[in-house]
Amino acid sequence: MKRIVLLSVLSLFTVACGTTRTSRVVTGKESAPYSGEVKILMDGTPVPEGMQEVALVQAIGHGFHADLEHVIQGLRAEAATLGCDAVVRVKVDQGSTQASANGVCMRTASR
Amino acid sequence: MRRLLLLASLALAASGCVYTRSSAVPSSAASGLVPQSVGAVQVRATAAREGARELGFVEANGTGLAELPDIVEEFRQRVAGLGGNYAQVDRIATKFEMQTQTYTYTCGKSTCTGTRAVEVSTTSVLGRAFLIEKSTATRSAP
Repeated sequence: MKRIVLLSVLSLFTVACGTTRTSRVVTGKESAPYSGEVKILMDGTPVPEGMQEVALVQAIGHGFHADLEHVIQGLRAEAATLGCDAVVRVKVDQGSTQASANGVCMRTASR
Repeated sequence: MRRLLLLASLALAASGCVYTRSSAVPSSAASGLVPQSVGAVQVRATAAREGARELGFVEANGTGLAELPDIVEEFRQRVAGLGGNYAQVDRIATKFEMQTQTYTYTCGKSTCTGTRAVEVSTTSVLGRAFLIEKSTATRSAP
């Protein structure tokens, strides 16, 4: 019983402090993690030529992470693990306790 | 203490509510006659197939803790249902909505009812179903 209470309190504490959850759907070919800075191109910005699609990526921030900074950071981190050097068509949606960012993870073909 | 535990459990249970759903519309009467696809459905967001035949428009969404992979899988199945083997994702968006949830708890020897506001997210994937023949080339989308 004490364990359940502790777990519940810990869960609520975690949510209260803020978390960023990321997910991906691989649509192309993954490669080794990218260690450089991942570029972010917002929706409406033309996609540079010579890039290959790798995956759809999403980041959702809760609590104190429900802001642009954390969800973009989440997208960058998720993209880097897939070997992407850019996330294009990024769209950010803001709620009052949550924020979401979606984009397409891309890799420069010549890299 | 029991009340606190009950509320915490209810909150966690409410936030854990997940479901996905989808819908599709054939582009034309003729495209509705294509049999359901049984093979793999390729998903792409930035490329369109040269010479691909558009079969219809597809939307899939997920609420609560539904993750992007669950929603895209729902999207993929809808594309297959239209007879497509190529799923083009045109747009992904998330909307947030405040909902009032009712819960009950034990107060003394009776059961009381309370309400609370919960923000629920819905992520939607909108795109198109295509049928492509083998050996067609891929080109970059504009």
